[in-house]
Amino acid sequence: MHTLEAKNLSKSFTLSERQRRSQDLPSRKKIAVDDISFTAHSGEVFGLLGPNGAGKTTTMRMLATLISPDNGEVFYDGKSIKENPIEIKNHFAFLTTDLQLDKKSTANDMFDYFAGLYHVPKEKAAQRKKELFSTFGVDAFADTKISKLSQGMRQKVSLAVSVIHDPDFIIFDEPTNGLDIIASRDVRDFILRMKEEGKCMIISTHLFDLVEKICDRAAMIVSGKIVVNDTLPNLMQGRSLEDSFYDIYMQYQNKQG
Amino acid sequence: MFRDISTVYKKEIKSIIKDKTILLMCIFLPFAIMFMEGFLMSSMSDTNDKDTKHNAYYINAPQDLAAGLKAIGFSDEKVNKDTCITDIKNKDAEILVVFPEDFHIDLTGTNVSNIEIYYNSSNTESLKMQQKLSALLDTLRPEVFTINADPNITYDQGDEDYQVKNTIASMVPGLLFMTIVYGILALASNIIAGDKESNFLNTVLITPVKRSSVAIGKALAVMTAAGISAISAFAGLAYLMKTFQDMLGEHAVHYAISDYILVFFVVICVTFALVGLLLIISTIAKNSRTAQTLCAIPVMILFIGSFLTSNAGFDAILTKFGFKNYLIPMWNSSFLTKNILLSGVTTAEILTTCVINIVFGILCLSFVSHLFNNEKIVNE
Repeated sequence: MHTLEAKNLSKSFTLSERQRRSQDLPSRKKIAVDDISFTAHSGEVFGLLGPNGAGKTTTMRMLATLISPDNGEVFYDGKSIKENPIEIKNHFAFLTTDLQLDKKSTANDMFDYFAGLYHVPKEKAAQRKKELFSTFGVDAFADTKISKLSQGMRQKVSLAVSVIHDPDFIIFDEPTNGLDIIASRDVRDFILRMKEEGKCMIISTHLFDLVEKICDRAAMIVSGKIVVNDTLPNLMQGRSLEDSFYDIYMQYQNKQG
Repeated sequence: MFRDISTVYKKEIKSIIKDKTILLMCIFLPFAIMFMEGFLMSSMSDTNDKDTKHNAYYINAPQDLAAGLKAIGFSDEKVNKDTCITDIKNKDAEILVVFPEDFHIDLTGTNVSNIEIYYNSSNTESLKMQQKLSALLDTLRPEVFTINADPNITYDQGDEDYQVKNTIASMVPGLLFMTIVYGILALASNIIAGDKESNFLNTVLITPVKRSSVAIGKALAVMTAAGISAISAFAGLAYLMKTFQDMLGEHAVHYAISDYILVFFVVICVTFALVGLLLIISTIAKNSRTAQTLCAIPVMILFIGSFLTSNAGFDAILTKFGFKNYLIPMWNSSFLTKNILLSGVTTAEILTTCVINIVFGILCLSFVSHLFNNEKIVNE
């Protein structure tokens, strides 16, 4: 059983003067994430919901160590990711449509490359390739350049590549963004399969139906703050998740107003 | 760390080998540019001029003058004056020189003979022949006094080959460095800026690999390609130098194998420094197009600077600067290469140049590693 804890994460960005004027902000400092804390455990799917610009992607990027928080820390089984980045990254996978594969390479090349970067031994990498390519149906286009694959095929390759090292935590930002129905279903099935294998999935999305179908717990981010964090049944209280969150969102906006 | 660097390096090298365009630019282009330079120069050269048939004629030339005219390419074929003049106008003939029937040299200046020279100034070959003829006829003009007439005395106390050497030595470094960089410009600008732009770099940065390892792996791949480019350019240089020697004929200057080895060693060191600088630009640039544009700037500065050294005024400034020239990264290689080909260099100058460039390259790579640890490397 593993635990990931995000503790008092904050992140701000400096806008250009033009951006400040267009967003009608009093200063060039924009607080993207404001003192966020949550915990996720093995064997669950934790959802991070929120409107566009709420701070979901920034939070995910901090968890994935792409960017550093201004304040706060991320802990994996009590160990700080700031102090042990290389060791802890071995337990994480980060997947988002923002992360692309090298278009000039093939699925085979990319798998081998990332197997090297994740320090997966050659024999294990070969075994994982066989399993994952079969699971995601990548065998059929393993030697085709990424540039020639459809969005759905690229997503499958990305999924296979991202879990080469059999991570404990999979951070998934907007998992079905830009995908057709079939590909979205494949991604959903992948998430549930990972959960069955005891992994923890942290997904950020603005799609309520996806959260309803796969999440065990969810938190809502509005303007960089977590306004609610609870189990799905508690959040929904017999209603649709969308209605529940809309009410919570309006209550929060009224309080701020 | 070495394993991670090796993983990144192997992947980049594989990409380079698979990319035919980059391979062409690294291996073939530098040699081709130097080769074309040599080919163009040899085709413009006058060395082979004596083998070229000229449509140049004379009428009534005295026997002793006729021999001189034939030596510079005139034909002894009998021609009609008016017909020949028309041919010259139509560029079917180059030149006609007509001596009066009673041609003589008059030392008193009271009854001088007039030689008529018909040529076409819009015809380059015609102009060349006219200049050769004028030079020949100048030697025959009566002399009031002579200057440096004794052929057994060396009046010019300087190196008689200096101008020739200076021209070669000023051109070669700029050409050499430019051709090397041309070979790797696209690669160096894309290897970081391109990956950043496509978000592939983000995918690599989330792996449990030190960011500096990623930076170093990429840098080594570019340096490998640059080394191949340098070898290709150097092979082209060998052909170019041979063409220069053939072009210059009796004025040819000869360089020893040790000169070539020294130049090659200097080339490798400056390539290291240049790659470091190009990678900084690639890391800072927002996209690969900006990176390519910016990468061309330092190369052009080096190229122009190298050519300017053939200018006496600029050369005088550099001479005043003295040993400090060797302390300026990359520029020192241009300056050193020129001096290797022109006047010779000392061990201290060679060592200083190489050390400065290697240190500069290492500093650049350190800066690239530092930039990789900055959040701005992440493409938003």
